[in-house]
This record gives sequence, C-alpha cells and structure tokens, in this order.
Amino acid sequence: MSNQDQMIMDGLFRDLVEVVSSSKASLITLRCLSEAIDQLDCSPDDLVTQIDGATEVILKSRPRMFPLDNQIPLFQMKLRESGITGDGNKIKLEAKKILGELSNQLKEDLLILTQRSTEYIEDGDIIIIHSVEETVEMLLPEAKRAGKNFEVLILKQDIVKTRQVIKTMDREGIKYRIIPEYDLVHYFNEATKLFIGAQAITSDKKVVADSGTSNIVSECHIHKLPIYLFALTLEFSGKIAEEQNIYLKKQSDFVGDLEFKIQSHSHDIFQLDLVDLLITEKGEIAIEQVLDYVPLNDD
Amino acid sequence: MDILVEFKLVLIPIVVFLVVYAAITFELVNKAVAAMSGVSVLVLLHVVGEHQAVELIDMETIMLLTGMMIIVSILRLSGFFTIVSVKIAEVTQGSPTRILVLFSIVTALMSAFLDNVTTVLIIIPIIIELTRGMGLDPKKYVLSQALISNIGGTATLIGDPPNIIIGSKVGLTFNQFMFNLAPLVVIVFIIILFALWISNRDEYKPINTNLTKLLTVQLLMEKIRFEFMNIRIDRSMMHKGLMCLFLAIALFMTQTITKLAPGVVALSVAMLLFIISKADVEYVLEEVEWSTLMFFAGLFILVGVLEETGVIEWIAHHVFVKVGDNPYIAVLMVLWVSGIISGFLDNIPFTITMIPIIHLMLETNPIPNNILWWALAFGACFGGNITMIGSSANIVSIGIAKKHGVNISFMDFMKTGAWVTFISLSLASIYLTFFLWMSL
Repeated sequence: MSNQDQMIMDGLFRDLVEVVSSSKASLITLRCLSEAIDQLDCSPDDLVTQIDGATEVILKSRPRMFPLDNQIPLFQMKLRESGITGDGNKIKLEAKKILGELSNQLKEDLLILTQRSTEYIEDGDIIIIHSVEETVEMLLPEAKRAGKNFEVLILKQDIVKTRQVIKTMDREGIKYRIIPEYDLVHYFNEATKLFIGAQAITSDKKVVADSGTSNIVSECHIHKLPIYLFALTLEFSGKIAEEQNIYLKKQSDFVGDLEFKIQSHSHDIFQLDLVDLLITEKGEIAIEQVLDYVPLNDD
Repeated sequence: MDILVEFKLVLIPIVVFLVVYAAITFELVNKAVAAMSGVSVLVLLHVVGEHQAVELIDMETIMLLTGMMIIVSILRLSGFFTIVSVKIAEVTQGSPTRILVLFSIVTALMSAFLDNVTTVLIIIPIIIELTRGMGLDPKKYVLSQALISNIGGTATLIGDPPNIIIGSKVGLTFNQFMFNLAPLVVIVFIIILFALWISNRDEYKPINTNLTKLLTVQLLMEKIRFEFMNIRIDRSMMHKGLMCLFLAIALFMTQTITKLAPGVVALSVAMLLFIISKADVEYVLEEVEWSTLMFFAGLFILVGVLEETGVIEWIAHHVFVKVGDNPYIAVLMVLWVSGIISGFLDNIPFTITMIPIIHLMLETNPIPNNILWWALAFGACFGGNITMIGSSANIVSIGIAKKHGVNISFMDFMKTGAWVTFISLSLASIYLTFFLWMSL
C-alpha cells in the first residue's frame, strides 16, 4: 500500500460522505470491496495479502469511517476464523459471503433505527436539519410515509450537502424551508427539535459529526431546543476523539480580487452531553452507558 | 490619383488582413472582435460598402453552424452527454487501456457528428476525474482525447469547421466528405490510437492484480455516478434531440436526392427541435457561440475583399501555381502546407483564405475528383494537432485541464502532437497519391 493509494482512498471517502450518510457510504464500500475481490486476478497466497492491504487502507482512512471502522475488523476476524487457505476461489467466495452478511446486518440495523426513530416525530413538529445523514435519508421519508405532519428547516451550509438535502426532501415530498445557518437564532420560537446524525461516537464521549454541526448543537443547546442524535451502535468507536484521524484541509480561496489560503477540518467534534436524546437501533441509550455498546472496544 | 485608388483598394485590405491575422494568432484581442474590427475599418474607409460586405458572408456556413450549435445545446441541456460519459466510465471498469480506447472511440464519433469543442467539453472533465481518481497521470489521456477529436472531426462535413467551410463554399455534399475522408480517418484513428498506447504502454497496465486499486476504481465509479448523475435528465427532450440529430444526418446523407443544402437542413431541424422539445429558447440561444459565428462572418468579408481586389489571385499564381503542372506535387503541397500552417495559425481563416486559391489552382491544373479539396481538408484538420493553439478543441482541452489542476505546456502538447500530425499527414499523402493515381 502506497501513500498515494491512501490519499486517493481518503479523498474518495470524504467526497462520498459529502453526499451520503456515513452508513450509506459504508454500505457502498462493502459492496465495492466485494466487487473488487471478485475482479481480482492473483494467486491464492497473494489474495490474503491483498485483502489485508486493502482493508488496512480503509482502516487508516482520514477521517475514520464508521460503521466501516467497526465492520472491517469483523470481516478480517471472520475470514481468519473460516480457516480457508490455498484455494483462491473459495477464499473469494467466503470473503464475499462475509461482506454480504455485514452489509445485510447494517441494513437491518438501519431499518430498526428508522422504525424506532419515527416515534420521535410528532404532528406539528418543525425539525431542524443541516446535513446528509441517516435522518435525512431514511427517518424523515419514513415518517412522511407514516402520515406524520411535520415541517423541516434546512440550514444552508456547504452547497453540495445542502443541495443533496433539498433533493431528498423534494423527492420525498417533505415540506421544507431553507434558511442560512447564521440566521437560526430567529427560528427558536417556532422550531421544536434538532435532528442530527454522527460519523462516530468516541470512547471519551464526544461526537464526530459533519462540519458545522458543533455550532448548531451549541446554539440549540443554549436556546434549550431538544437535540436528538440518531446513530447506530456500529458508529460507537473504541477510540478517543483525537484518534479519529480528522482531516485538515488547506486550500486557496478568493473573494473578488483577494486570494487567500484557508484551512478547514473534515468533521466537527462536540461533547456528547450536549445531546438530549441518543437513539440507536437498540433504543434510547443513556450517555453514561455508551461504552457498554462499543462493538470492538480496544480496552 | 491612380496610385491613391490602388493604395485604397489593394494595400488597405492586405494590411488590415495581416493585422487581423496577427491579432488572432497572438491572441491580442478576441478573434471575433479582431475580424469584425477589420471589417469595420474596411467599411469606414469605403474599401467595401456595407451591403457588399454582407453579400460576401457565406450564409450557408453560418446557417449550418448555427443549426448544429442549437441541436447540440438542446442535447446537452437534456443531460444526454452526461449519461454517455458516465456509461463509458462504467464500461471501462477502471482499466487504463479500456479508458483510452473507449473514450477515444466516443470522442472520435462525437467529433465526427457533432463538434469538437462540445466533445472535449464533455469528455475531458470526466476523463480527468476518472484517471486522477485512479492515481494515473491525466495528462496523457487529455492529450489523447484532444488529438483524437481533431482526427475524428475530419471524417465528415459537419465534424470540423474547415470541412464545414469547404463543403459550403465549394458545394461538396455530406456523402462526398464521408466516402472520401472517412476511410482514411478510420485508418489514421486506429494507427494513432495504437501509437499512443504503445508509446506509453507502462501507463496502460491492467489493474486487476491490485485489490486496493480495484476498490479505488469501484468507489470512484460511485462518486462519479453521484456527481455526474446529480444533474437534471430530461428524457423526453433527449429523445427528441436525438431524433432530430439523426434526421439532420439522414437529410445530409440524402442531399443529392432532396437537393437541400446542409445549412438549410441544420437550421430547419434546429427550429423543429425548438418547437417539439419546448426547450427554453433564451437559454439555448445563450449557449450558441455567437462569437464564433461573428468570427466566421468577419473572415468571409475580409477574404472576400482580398479576392475581389485580386490579392488572392496574385498569391495563387506566385506561390501555389508556380510549383508547376505536376498534380502529385500540387496535392502534396496543399496537404503539407495546410497541415503545417494550421498547426501554428488558426485553421479557420487559413481555410477561408485557401478556398479561392485552390479554385484558381484548379483553373490552371484541373485535378479530378476534388482531390485538392480533400488535401485541404486533411491538411487543415490533421494539422491542428501539431500545437496546442492549432485548433479550438486543443485550446479548450488545455483550458479545462488547467482548471482541474492538470498543466499541459506548449512543449508537452507538441512532443506528442507533432509526431501524431506527421503520421496522419504521411498516411494522408499515401492515400491522396494513390487516389490521384487511380483518378488520372
């Protein structure tokens, strides 16, 4: 594995989570890995090395990709436990079978999370969202289909993300208004909830979420607006926030004739205790119990 | 008094023409502004009257260009080109050789039946995205597509501006272009594609022995699908656009039966498409390259004035006719001179200038089967590959590449473009010599 391979993969992951939730990005990656294994042409001995190499690149991604970061070690463990060696086709079939199972498990968890989460939407709710997360992709459409009468306030931030949110709302026929993020203060008298998702929930009880989430959460917390965090337990990390490999991007920008360098992080970090309710596929989880649910706890 | 009149009628058009040519070549001002400024000077100095100037414009060419630009704009608006690009990307499955070959085939076909600039505008961004995402050097792929677009565009009457001009001004049909130019273009395309592949074969090694690269490609395809498919696709408009494009091509091919000039066909079909597609007329008309049409109109007037004042006749007699009666020398000279000059100067004004010269050459040395016209077409189109300023498609490709952070220098382009042109012109020489030998 070269540095270039790692950089390319990191960039692809970051681009992907701009337009889909981290869960959907994980599902896509599992499917892509399965197809790549299918197309691979190498000796049986080399196959295992190649699989280790590719999974290592995924695990070293900047930032860490959840639920993938929990699923890949499971994949490696199950493949080792299968004990198949020497026959390339059998190894490939086993690897694809495990990836398929992991994918199905993730889909099932997402379905359960969605079904549980619709309970948290009530008629007349005005819900604030800002990014492409599981709530946007699955929860709100499901609530709409269930006949719930609610409205969404989309906070306009990064144009790529906002565009994707608007497209989903349009497709699902959900009533919405778009407001600039900095204008949020004028809406606290009518908004009823803030819905967010997470890239990861870390072992030091912090949330890694899309850029811009931290500001919104803080503002909503100050104005005592209930904050609902919807996440899969597969997004619970055994590592602390500093170990989530959050990417620092430096780039040139310009306004009119003024050109300058700007740097930004790929994700935000904020304290989990700012969240009022943490809802997972296993139900509501108290903040202090988070560590009990980490799938692969390093400790 | 006579000297003053002669100065006004001969010297002023020559000076104006040379200044305009220099302004275009060195990009001192916009090409259309340069050409139209030249016309303004000639009209202001009463070298040519305004009504006479308008009559010098070849409306057939302008109509053909306008019509095709409208059809292409509506097709682009429908999302057709995006779908095509994403589908090819999917079919390549990340194989470097497949990327080169499949994109080249599509680029060549699109360049032959649409226009080169539209083709590279669509193909270059996606090929950069694809190759860069795979950790390959996009430079080679950008270069190959720019070169192939010029080769593909040579095949038909509507493929490249020099052919449009030759077809309209000389009265050659779509089928004449296809039957005489396309066979060689296919051979040149295959040989050049193979040469491009063999000259960088290490770059085109298969990736199916590397799982990380295969995974990267799969993820990249997903990203491309999200990015490129996120645009609005209007299937109804797309179907109508394609139907009209095929209708136009069918009418071009049956020109000898219908007696409809290509310009009339293109503009009529474009209007039909406007009516049936209900496309936003204002938006589509904004997409039409009015500056290119102005540039053509201005050049037609400038060259028309030179023709009327006898300057063209003088050049023809003192430069081209002087080579003697040998038809082989005449054909090869037109081919190579056109090829080399088109590499360094814009091939549009060059072609417009060469048309009256070739008419005069044919008066003194009647070479059969329009072979001199085919020599001009091959020279002007293939020659555009020598340098990055040789054709509009090259300039646009380099511009898009730069916007995506891929810098291709003048020498980078020329290192590949020069030998590609040399092979193309050499093959054209053999083809035309054989053609002439069969015709005499």
